[in-house]
Amino acid sequence: MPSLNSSLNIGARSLFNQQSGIATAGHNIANLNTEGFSRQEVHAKSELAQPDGTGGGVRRGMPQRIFDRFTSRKIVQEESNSAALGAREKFLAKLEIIFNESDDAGLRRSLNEFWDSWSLLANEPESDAAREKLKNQSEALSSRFRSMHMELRGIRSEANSRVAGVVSEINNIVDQIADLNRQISSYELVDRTANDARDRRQLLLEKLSQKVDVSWLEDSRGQMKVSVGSTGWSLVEGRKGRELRASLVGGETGMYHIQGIGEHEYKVDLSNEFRSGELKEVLDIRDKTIVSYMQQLDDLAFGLAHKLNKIHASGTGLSSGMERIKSSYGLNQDAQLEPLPFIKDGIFQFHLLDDDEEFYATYEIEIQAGKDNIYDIVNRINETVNDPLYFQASIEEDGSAVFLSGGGKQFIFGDDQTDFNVVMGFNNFFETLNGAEDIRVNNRLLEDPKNISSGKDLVPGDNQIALEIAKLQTRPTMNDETQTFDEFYNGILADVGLRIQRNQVEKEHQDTMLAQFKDIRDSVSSVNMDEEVANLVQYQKAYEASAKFVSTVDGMMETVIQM
Amino acid sequence: MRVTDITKRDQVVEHIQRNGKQLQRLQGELATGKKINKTSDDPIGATIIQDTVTTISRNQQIAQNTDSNIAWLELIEIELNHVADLLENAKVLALSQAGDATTTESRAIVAQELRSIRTALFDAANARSGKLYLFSGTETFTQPLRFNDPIQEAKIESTSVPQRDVAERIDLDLFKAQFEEHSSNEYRIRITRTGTFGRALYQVSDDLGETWSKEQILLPVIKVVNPDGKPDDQVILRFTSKDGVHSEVASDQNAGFFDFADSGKIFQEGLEFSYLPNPQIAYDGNSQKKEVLIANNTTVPISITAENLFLKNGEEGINVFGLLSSLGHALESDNGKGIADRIAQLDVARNQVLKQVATVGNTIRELEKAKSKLDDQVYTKQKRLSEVQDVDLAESMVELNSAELNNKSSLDAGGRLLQPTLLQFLR
Repeated sequence: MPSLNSSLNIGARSLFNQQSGIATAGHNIANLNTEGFSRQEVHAKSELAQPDGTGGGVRRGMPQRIFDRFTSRKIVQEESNSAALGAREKFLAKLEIIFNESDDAGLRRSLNEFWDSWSLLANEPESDAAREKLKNQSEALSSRFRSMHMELRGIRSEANSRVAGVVSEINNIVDQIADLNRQISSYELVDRTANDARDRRQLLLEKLSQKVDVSWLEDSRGQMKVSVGSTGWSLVEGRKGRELRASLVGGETGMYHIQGIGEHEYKVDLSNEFRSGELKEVLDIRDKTIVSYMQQLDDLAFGLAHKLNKIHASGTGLSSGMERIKSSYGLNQDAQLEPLPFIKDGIFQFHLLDDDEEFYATYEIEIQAGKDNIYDIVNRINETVNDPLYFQASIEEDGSAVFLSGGGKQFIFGDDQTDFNVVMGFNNFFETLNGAEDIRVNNRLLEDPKNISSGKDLVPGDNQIALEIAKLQTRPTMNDETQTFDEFYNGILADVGLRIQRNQVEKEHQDTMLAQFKDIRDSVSSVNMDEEVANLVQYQKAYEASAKFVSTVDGMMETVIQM
Repeated sequence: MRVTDITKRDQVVEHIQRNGKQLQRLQGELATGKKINKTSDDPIGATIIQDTVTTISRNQQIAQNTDSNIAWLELIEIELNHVADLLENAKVLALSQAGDATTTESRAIVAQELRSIRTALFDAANARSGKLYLFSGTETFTQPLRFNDPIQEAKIESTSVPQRDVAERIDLDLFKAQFEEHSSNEYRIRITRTGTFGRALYQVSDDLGETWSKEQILLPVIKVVNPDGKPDDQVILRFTSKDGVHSEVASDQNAGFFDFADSGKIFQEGLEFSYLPNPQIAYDGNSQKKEVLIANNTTVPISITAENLFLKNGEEGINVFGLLSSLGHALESDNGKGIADRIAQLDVARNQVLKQVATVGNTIRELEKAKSKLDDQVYTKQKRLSEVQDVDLAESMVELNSAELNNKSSLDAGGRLLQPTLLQFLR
C-alpha cells in the first residue's frame, strides 16, 4: 500500500511538472516572433510503479527543443546560393542602369546621332553647321564612353568595399559562434539544457552561410566546427574563432583579396577558394562580370577610334594645310629603337602646298613593317624631301614625332597604306590610349571643326572620306569584322538583360525552394499560439487537479493525525 | 503539415509581395505606356527596339539629306533648262541669218546678240546655291568658268642654239614676244630663215610640229593662222619693245616698225615661239562626281560639271563657247557656209545639254523614289517599334483589374487568417 507521503510526493511532482509545462508554453509564446527560435516541449514520463503496483506519478522532464536536423542542414546549404543570387541581383540592377538605353541619354542614342552627323557631313561637306553638329555629337559620344567607364568603375569599387564589409560581417559571426560554443559546452557539461544557445548558434550558422559557403559538424561535446571554402579552411574550432582578413597588400591595386589568418600570423590567400555565398558572388562581380563589361566597352571604343582614324587620317577638311603637327602618341626610349608596331608594308604619302594652297610637291615614303623603327622612318622622310627649309620631320624628347614645314609651305596628308598616321596619331579623329576611359576627340578638330576630314586634297565639295566613315555604321567592323558597332553594343546590352532575367528565374526558383525548406522547418519548430494556449489550458486544468489531489491527500493526512 | 504563426505569416507576406510585384509592373507599364522599361524586361525586345530606333534615325537623316539633294538637283535642272533655251534662241537667231535675204548689218546685230547669249550662258554655268557653285564638280567653292587673259607671254626656244644661249641671242631686255586672243590649239611659230623683220621667214604648226604651213615673212605683228587648221582661230603674235611700245597698226601689212636695227636684231633660224592652248573660257572645277547616300551603302552621283556641259572637244562633244564665238566670227565675216555648219552644231550642243537635263531628271526621280522608300521604311519601323515596346492599353487595363481583384481578395483572406486566435473563444 502506498504511503500518504509518497502520494504527497506524487502530488508535488505533478504540480511541479504542470508548472514547468505552463512555463514552457509561456516561453514559447514569448518567443513567438523570435527569429530562429525552436519551440520547446516538456517531455514528462510516468514514474516507475511502487512495490505494491500503484503508479508512482510523473517523473519531471526537461524542456526539449523540437528541431529538424536534416531540414536545417539543407537550409544552411541553400542560404549560400540564395544570398549569392541576391547579391548578384543587386549589382546587376546597378549595371542595368548604366546600360539603360530606354532614355535618351544612352550610348546607342549617342552613336545614332554621331553617325547621322557623319551622314549629314557627307551630304554637305562644305557646311559649317554640319561640322559644328558633328563636333558636338562626337564630344557627346566620347564623353558618354568616359562616363560609362567611370560608372562601371564606381560599381566595381562599390563591390570592392562590399568585399571588406562581408569579411567583417563574417568575422563578427565567427566570434559569436565561438562564444556560443563555449556557452553550450559549459551548460551541457553540468547537464543543463542549452536549447536557446543552440537555436542562436544555428541561426548564426545560417547567417554565416549567406556570406560564404560553410561546412560544419558538431563534436561529442556539442561544439560546432565550422570551415569555409573548397579546401575547408577552418573558421571556428571549439571556443576559438579565426578571422578572415580583407587585405590590400599584393594583388590588383586597390582591390581587396581575402586572407585566412592561422596560428602565428600564418596567412593563406582564400580569394579563389569560395564556392558560393555573397562573398564569392561579390568577388566574381568585381573581378569577372564588371571587368568583362569594361573590357567590351573598351573594345568598342578602340574599334570605333581605330576604324574611324584609319579613314580620317588621310583626309582633309576645309581649312588649309598644316605647318606643324605633333603625334598624339609618344614612344618610350626602348620602343623608339624597336620596329614600329601595328604598321603595314606600303606607301605613306604627304603633300607640300604653296602659300596659295597649290600643290607644290608630293612625297611617297615606303615603309617596311617589322623592320623600320621611328628613326628609320623620320630619316627616310627627311631624305626624300631633302629640303629642310620647307619640310622637316623630327622626334621630340617625349618620343612623339613632329612634322614641321617652313618657307611659306604647308603640308597635308595623302593616301596611307601603312597606318603610320593612325599608329602615331597624326590627324586622328578620336584619340585614346586606354579605350573608353580616355577616348577623346582630337583637339585640333574641336578647336576648328573645319579641320575635320571630309574629303581629300583640300577639295571642299569632296565627300569621300565622310561618306566612307558614314558607311562604317552598317559595316561589320568588330569581332574579326563579323559585327557592326551597333551589333557589338547590342551584344553587351542583351547580355546584361539576359543575365538579369536568368538570375531572376534562378533566384525565384532558389527562393521558393528555400522558402519550402523553411516552411518544413517552421512547421516543425515554430510556435503556434493557439496550440500553446490550448496547452496552457491543459496544464492549468492539470495543475488545478494536482492541487486538488494534494489537498485530498492533505485531508487524508489530517484524518489520520486526528485519529 | 503543422501550421504555425510563422508559416501563416510567411504565406500571407509572400502573397502580398507577389501581388504587389504584379501591380507594380502593370502600374509601370501603364504609366509609361511601354512594355519594356528596362533591358531585363525583355532583352531581345530591347535590342530590337535599339536597332529599330537606329534604322529610323538613319533613314530620317538620309531622307533629310535626300531632300536637300533633290533641291540642289532641281536648281541644276532649272539652270540647265535655261541653258537649253538660250541655245535654242541662238539657233533661231542663226537660222534667221542663214538665208540670202540678210544683210551685213543684220548679221552684225545678231552677232552682238549672240555675245549676250554667251554672257548669259557663262553666268548660268557659274550659278550658285548659297555659297556653293552648282557646276564645279567637288570644287564647290571655286567659280567653274573663268575668262582667260587674252595676253600670253610667248615661250621662246631654239632648236639650233643651246637653250641657255637663247636668252642671250634674243635680247629679252629689248623686246617682248606675246600672243593675244584665245584658242584651244597649241601653236608653234618657227623661224625658217635668219633675218630681221621683213626679212626673216616663219612657218606655223598647230599639231606640235607634225605639219607646217608655208613660209611667210616675219613682221612685228603677225596673225598666227595655220591655213590647214581652223579658219576662225585668231591668235596674234605681237612683238613690242620692253616697255610695251608697239606699232599702232594691227594689220598684217607694213606694221610700223620700231627700231630694232640698233641692236642688230636678227631672228635666228630655228627659233621657236610657242603658244599654249588658251581658250577664252577655262574650267577651274574638277571632274570628280559627288556621291550621295540614298540607302545603306547605296550611293548615286549628283554632280554635273560645266566642263561636261560646255567645254567638250572633238569626239567627246561640243565646246559651246567656242561654237558661239566661231558662229559670231562667221556672222561677222558673212560666211554663209560657216553659219550653216554652226547651226547643225548648235543642235548637237543643245542635245548635249538636254542629255544632261535628262540625267538630272532621272537622278531626281531616283532620289524621290529612294526618299519615298525611306519614308515607307520609317513608317513600317515605327509601327514595328510600337508593336514591340508599346503597351496594349485594353489588355493591360483588364490585367490590372484582375490583379487588383486578386490583391484585394488575398489581403482580405490574409486578414481573416491572421486575426482570430483561440483566446477570443476562451471563457
